[in-house]
Order: sequence, then structure tokens, then C-alpha cells
Amino acid sequence: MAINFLIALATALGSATLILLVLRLSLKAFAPNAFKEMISTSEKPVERQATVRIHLADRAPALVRLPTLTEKQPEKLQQAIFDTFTLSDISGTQIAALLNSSAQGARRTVVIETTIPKAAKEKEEKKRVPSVEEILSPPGQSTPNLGTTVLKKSSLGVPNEALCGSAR
Amino acid sequence: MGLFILSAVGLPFLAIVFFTILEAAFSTAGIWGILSKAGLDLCRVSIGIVGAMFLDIPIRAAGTVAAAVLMMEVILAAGAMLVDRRAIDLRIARQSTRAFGILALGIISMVIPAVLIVLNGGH
Repeated sequence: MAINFLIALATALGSATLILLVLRLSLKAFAPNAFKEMISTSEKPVERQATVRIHLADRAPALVRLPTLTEKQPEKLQQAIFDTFTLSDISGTQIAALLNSSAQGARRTVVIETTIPKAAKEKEEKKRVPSVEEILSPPGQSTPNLGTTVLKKSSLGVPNEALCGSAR
Repeated sequence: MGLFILSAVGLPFLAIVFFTILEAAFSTAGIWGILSKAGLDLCRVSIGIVGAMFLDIPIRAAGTVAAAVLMMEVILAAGAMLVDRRAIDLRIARQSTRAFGILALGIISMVIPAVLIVLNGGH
């Protein structure tokens, strides 16, 4: 049985060599330029997951896990950083450079130590989350009780697209 | 024995040739992509060819031998997938080298069970 197996192995190697040689010669004759094609690096299966930890001024750590990104999505990576934080000391490009410098295919945690002034943070939060009064009665509006009217109407279940549209 | 070899090895091989030509005709993949897929198909079909060894009565302890050959076929198929997926890690830069490597593994995995069936006088 072992001899049979060795014979089979030798036959397989020989036939593979012969077939590939014939195939190579025929392809060289019909498509010589095809042999110059290189494997693109984008075919490499790469999966990254980055974790950014930012220490705020009041020492309350904020942990943000970015979505899994591939090499083909550098724009998405930068977009996620810009959408999540507005930092004064470190720019989004620098964060992206730090994340991109990690080894390919590795799951890595990148800890960025930076400080955001608490006053600036509160100011930023105020800008981001306006109150109900601000939404319904924006500054400079001549009729401040318009929002109240809208709330009453909507509570009755009567749609008023014009007023609701202005409230948004 | 001729009919046995034809049904166990010949027909699957001809089917692969047929589907490879069809893919070359209708898909937008390059020549090396088509050859790589053909090599992977050879590996997969060869796993089925090993099944014919289980039916071969003259082989003593056919189950054990066929199971060992089957495991070898599976390892060869895994090697072909490794070359396909991790070519850059294996320092294979050219698409032609990768395609020929996969094809070589496919041919080897196809010929070994066929020759074993022939040598053992398959019916």
C-alpha cells in the first residue's frame, strides 16, 4: 500500500508539472502580458478595530469604540473621528495617522491622552443639544408662544405641517 | 475498470473543464482568477473522488486507507485556500504564480486518488 501511495504521489507530481508546463507555454504564446500582473495589496483581508479613550478635564473617561473599518475606508475612519469629538489640542488628522500606523490585521487599542477644557466642553454640549424652548422659540422670533400653540395642537392629534415645520 | 475510472475521475474532471470554460466566457474575472477558481474546484471535487475508494472492495481496510487519503485531500484543499487568501503573506507577488500554485495543488489532489484506484484494480 505504501508503494502504491508513493507511485500515486510521483504520478501526481509529474502530471501536475507536465500540465502546468503546457499551460504556461500556451499562455506565454497567447497572452504574454498576463504574466506581468501583480497581486494588488487591496486583496489582503484586513480588519481593524480601534478604541479611542479620551480623558476629559474632569477626569471622566469617555470610551468610544469606532466601527470596524477596512483599508478601503480611510475616509470613514476620519469621518467617525470628526463626528465624535471636536478636540482643540489634537487634530483629527493626527488621530487618523496614529490609528493608521498600527500593524495591519491587528486589533489594537489606541489610547489618546488629551485634555478638553470643561467650559469649552459644556459650551459644545449646549450647542449640540438645544432645549425645547430654543427649538420652538429660536432667538429673534417675534412670536414666542408659537411653540406652545404647536404643542397644544399636536397633543390633540391634529397635524399642522406648516407649524411643525417651523418648529423643527 | 475503465468505466469505473471514467465515472469516478473522468466525468468530474470534464465537468470542471466545462464550467471553467463557461466562467471564462461569461464572467469578468481575469485569466488568473479563473484558473485559481478551477484549481480550488479540482481540490473540492477530488474530495468526492476519494469516495470511490470506499467502494473498492480489493483495497484491504478500505475505510482506513480511504479516510487517510481523504484527510490528505482536505489538507491539500486547505493549502490551496491558504495560497489563494494569503498570497501576499507567503511572498507571492505575481497572480500567475498564485494561480499556478493553486492549480498544482488541485491537480495533485485529483491525481492521487485516481492513481490509487487504478493501482488497486478498481471495479
